[in-house]
Amino acid sequence: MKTHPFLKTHNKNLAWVLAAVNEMIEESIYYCDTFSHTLQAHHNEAAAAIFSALSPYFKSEQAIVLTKLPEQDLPNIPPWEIPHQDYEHPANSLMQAHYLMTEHEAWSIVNDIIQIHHCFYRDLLANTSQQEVIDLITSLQTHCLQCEKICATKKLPAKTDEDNNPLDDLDAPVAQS
Amino acid sequence: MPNHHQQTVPPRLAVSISGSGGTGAVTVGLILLDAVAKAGFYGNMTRAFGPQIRGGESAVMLHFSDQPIETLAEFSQLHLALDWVKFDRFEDEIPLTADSLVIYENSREKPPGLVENSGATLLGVDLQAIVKTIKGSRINMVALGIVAQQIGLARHFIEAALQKTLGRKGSEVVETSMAAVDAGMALLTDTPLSGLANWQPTHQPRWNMSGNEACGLGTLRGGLKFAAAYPITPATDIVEYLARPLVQMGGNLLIAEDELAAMNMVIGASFGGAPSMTATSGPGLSLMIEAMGLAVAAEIPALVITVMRGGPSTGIPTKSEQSDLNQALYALHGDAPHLVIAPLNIQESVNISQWALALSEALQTLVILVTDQHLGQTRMIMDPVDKLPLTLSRLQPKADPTADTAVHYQRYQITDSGISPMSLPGMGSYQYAAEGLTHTESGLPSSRVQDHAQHLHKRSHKILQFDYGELWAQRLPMANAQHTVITWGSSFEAVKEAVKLLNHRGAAISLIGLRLIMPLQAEALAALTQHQKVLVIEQNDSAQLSHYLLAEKAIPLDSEAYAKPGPLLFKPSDLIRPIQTWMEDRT
Amino acid sequence: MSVEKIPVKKARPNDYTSEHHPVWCPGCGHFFILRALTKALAWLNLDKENIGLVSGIGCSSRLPAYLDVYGFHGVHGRALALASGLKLARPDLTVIAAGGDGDGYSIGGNHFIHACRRNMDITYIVMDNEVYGMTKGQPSPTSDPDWHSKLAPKGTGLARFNPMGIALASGASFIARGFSGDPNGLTKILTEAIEHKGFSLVEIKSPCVTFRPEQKDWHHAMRLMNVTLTANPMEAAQAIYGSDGFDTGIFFQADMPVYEAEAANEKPHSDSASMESIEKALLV
Repeated sequence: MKTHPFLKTHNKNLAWVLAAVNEMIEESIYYCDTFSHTLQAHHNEAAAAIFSALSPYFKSEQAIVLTKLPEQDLPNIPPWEIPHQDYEHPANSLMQAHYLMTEHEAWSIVNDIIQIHHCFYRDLLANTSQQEVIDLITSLQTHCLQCEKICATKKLPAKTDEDNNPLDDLDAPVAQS
Repeated sequence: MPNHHQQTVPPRLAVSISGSGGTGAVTVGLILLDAVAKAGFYGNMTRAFGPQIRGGESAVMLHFSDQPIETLAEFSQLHLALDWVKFDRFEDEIPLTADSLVIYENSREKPPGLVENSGATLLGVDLQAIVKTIKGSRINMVALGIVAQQIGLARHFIEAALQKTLGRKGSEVVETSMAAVDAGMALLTDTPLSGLANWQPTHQPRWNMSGNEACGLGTLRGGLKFAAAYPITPATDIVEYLARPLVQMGGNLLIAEDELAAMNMVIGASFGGAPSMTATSGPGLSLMIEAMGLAVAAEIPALVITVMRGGPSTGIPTKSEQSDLNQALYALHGDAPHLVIAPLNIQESVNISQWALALSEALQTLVILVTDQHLGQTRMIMDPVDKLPLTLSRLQPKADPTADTAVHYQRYQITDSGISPMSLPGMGSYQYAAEGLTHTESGLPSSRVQDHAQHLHKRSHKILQFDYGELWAQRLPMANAQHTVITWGSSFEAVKEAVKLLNHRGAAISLIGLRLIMPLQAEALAALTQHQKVLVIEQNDSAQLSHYLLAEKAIPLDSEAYAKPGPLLFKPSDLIRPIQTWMEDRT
Repeated sequence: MSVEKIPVKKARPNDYTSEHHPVWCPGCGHFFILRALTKALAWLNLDKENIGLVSGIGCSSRLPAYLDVYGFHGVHGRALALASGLKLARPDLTVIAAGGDGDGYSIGGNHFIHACRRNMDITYIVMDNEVYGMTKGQPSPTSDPDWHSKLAPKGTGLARFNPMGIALASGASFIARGFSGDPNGLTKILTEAIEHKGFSLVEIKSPCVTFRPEQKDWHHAMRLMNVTLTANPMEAAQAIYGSDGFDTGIFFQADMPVYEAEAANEKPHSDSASMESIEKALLV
């Protein structure tokens, strides 16, 4: 696979790590809130609740970052930067969303987002020798694991019949213009 | 607005010139109008054309007086034909009678039958022979000399006007032209029409402008900062006139790819804070209608000047008709209250267009200013018009971003007047999204019954509650009159003259010229006409104004209409008989 | 005495979002375009009151309501015309137009051509999902010829409209394709487009989950930021016509004459002096 032109390859110091992690978490929070809202608007309260339930967890994850350095002191990193080779944007999993999604599907997407966080943290740990980065990432990972656990419990039981055969909307879509 | 009341008919002189293939009839007309103005008089000039872009047959009709004059002549007292090619095309525009003198170039063709049958005095002259004796001269300049001599216009006025028109082509051109003019002036000795010599000239400054230019000037005075338009006859002159002065005034003009674009460009510029307008005619207006509704719904100030021509469809692009009133009133879908305003003559087009732009700004809505080909393209010598002392402007929120209005800014806030403060891009804390969907006070789209009703009412209320003052109509009341004639637009001047003549003969007729057609001042109009016999005069086939006034209960149910289609403007004499007949039936 | 640190305003994406949350179908590509746009605006640190965002009608044209900038939700197909008027009257603003493929390439096709030709400093974001979503799934100018729909049961049989080719031929000076599933690349493209002086077309493939669920596969088909930028229109034409529609990046960017407000230049006279000379010209 060709290297992404915006891949960040060096100078991954603590300040950058804080900024990059903050950038990623902020995306996750934004999308959890946004998708919770649109799912509510589409009257899929169950799936909406899952996204809104995860939002506070991401916010406390962000708080860990911001206690190290307040937001206004974080370095300005380009928003198109790819923080590591295997980086996936939270958007990737959200593109699988649909308005009739089941709770199982919602938990899966949320879990995917957590895995994206995990993946970044693992990469950072593997490629750093800076103790303060290691300490930070360790506490972020601990937090992430808790989230993962919640997902794992809630996701069960694995798949329902509905997941295998998603419900069809009995009504046709509504023309708006 | 100056109103020239006179008890007797002022002196008048009607001259026409025709020619084909670029013989320069229009140039003669323009120079003649300017020269007569320089001599201290007034006049107007209309034009008629064949369908060719260049080199076709064309004619100019000039009407002179020692007072401002907007009506067409009853007949041409002096017609000068540079040739007779396709002259029959101008039969309607250039009425010839036994009282007409026709001077024509006789080296090629004889006058056509319709000219011979008119009974006019015919005088053939060999213009070509004269031109051959003056190197580089053209027959139209000889013709100019002939007309000047016939009407008693002094040579130096011609020279001054020529200098203005041809001066930039060099002194040689002017000298050659003057030599031809001199030859023309020396050609005939009789001066049966030496009218000008007996008139009292004025030494006051006067303007030489067309109605389209008048509209341009009025909008500039109103603070116009943006215009966008797609070329269309007979409206293009407005934006052509504006091109330079608008930039001088710090504004901008955008040539749109079509009328749909033009209207949306106007809305965009106005959203940005620039008082904005476009100019078009019926077919273009049709294309603008959708976006005009957007200006209404999103409450964006926008002025659309429509210069009516013969319709429907492509109709008669170069001639006049008052048949797009229904379009201006009713073409928008939904309940879309807006303003429809029309000037009553060329001169007041300056002030009425200034007023129209100011109203669009003050009421944050669409204003359609309706003129027509006659009002727009007739060139006129007029007294300069003072700027209207208007203080109307767009209501804006407080500039302080910490103000309470900023914190809770609602673009479409319901207010007593229905007018909400409108923020402009760049004003911090007042961001909003202008919305064409039915919306709430903050501008959020809504399809709720209450929001819909509330904002429909807001938008109609804001234009109904507004005090438009005395400009809504021109009233010429007559004591003890039991008859009232109502008219609008370019019909007004002819109707005014006809009514004046009948009143002079002992009739008692009041006249109302409507300027503010929507929102109709129906109560005021009803009060004026409730015990009156009413005749509505308009230049279209279906009596559009009359039907509108009846539907709004602004005139009595037994009111009548005298509606005749264009493209020929009413002359006062066309109206005497119909008014008399109506009065006889209605006494 | 210590020197007080003057805090530099550093905008964040959330600063640009309005209080209204998007109600596009969950999974719609437009969500990611909205977010990428706010990230680009934040990176450029633009004052939100100096941004004009104009749209037409369609799912994507709901965008202005979701941003806390000066927005305009106009009529169908005319966003570029409205934006052109705004930009000319207010050259100080950052003007962005946004809409869908039907809005921009079908009903607004003429305005698209002439906006490219004027090359005004406007960024045009097209969220292309190859379908009319808001009217329930009719084929648009960018639909494949064999895409079956209720309105065209056998497909339209018509070749796809080539917006980037048209833009190049019409005189646009910045032409890029993005993918809503590549938020990072898209943010970069949008940033460059807004920064670019001239007309910027950002054609974004943005899946419609409701009427084109098969577009979820775009995720695998798209080649992210693989295009080589050129200022040479011949090379750009080759890249645009040579692409199967799945290449992303900036295809063309050139320094070309921009149509600008004449009045932006210093005005030599006061309004009253100008008006006086305008009226003087009317005198006999």
